[in-house]
Amino acid sequence: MGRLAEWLDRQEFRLGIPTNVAFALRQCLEEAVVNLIDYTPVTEGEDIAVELGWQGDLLVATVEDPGPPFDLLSAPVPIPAISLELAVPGGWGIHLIRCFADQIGYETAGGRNRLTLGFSRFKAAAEDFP
Amino acid sequence: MNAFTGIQLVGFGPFLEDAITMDMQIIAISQDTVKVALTGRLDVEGSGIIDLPFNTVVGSNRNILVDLSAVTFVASIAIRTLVLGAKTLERRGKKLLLLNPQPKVEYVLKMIGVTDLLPIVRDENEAVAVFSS
Repeated sequence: MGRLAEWLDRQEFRLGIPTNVAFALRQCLEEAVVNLIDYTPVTEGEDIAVELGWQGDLLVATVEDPGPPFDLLSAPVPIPAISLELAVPGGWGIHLIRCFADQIGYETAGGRNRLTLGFSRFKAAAEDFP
Repeated sequence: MNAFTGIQLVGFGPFLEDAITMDMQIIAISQDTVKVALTGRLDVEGSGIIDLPFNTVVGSNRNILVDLSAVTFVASIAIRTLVLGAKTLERRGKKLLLLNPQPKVEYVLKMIGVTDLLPIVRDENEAVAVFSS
């Protein structure tokens, strides 16, 4: 994960990603890849691949993995706990992806899951995002 | 498209010289209260760095003020660590508060809906008042 963070540092510079878009992108990719590492039985010789690039004013990130099919859009929205006693941490990563990505797509092809996340260049102006 | 391939990574360049690492300082405020000042990114890597020392502080059975003013990013795994710490402290009659998170970090906390579980204070005086209440 440390190398993903460093790769993102370099891409932010190379692709000229605006600050708020970079924050949203990092939030989503951290959560997506951690989720895969935690729940996907990746074996030797298989990998998780991330691609990133602009398509017009949309920054598009794709995450491919060889695990069992899983569409995060189908995951339930976590219910905020009303007290610490009742709080059961979990499901927050997927929730954050849904909050921060402007577009989310999912497909399976060739035995691989493909998650596509889109981030508008104008994210800062479009949302109540500090 | 620029590609990143995980798990089996090859061909990566040198680490960025300005890559931010996570730093954790523990400062006693009083006999019953300690401030944990964090600096850097609380991403998966940063969370891994603080997990053990933070849980050791939780185990010391004191109120904890987590200073987030120098934290630029927070992943859900780090929020999980904070919530679990707060749960442990509450069972022992103690509290965990967050001090001055940066706007984007606070936004993430609100998106997850944990600001009632991890109350935010703006200065140490306010924290002392809450700990005393």
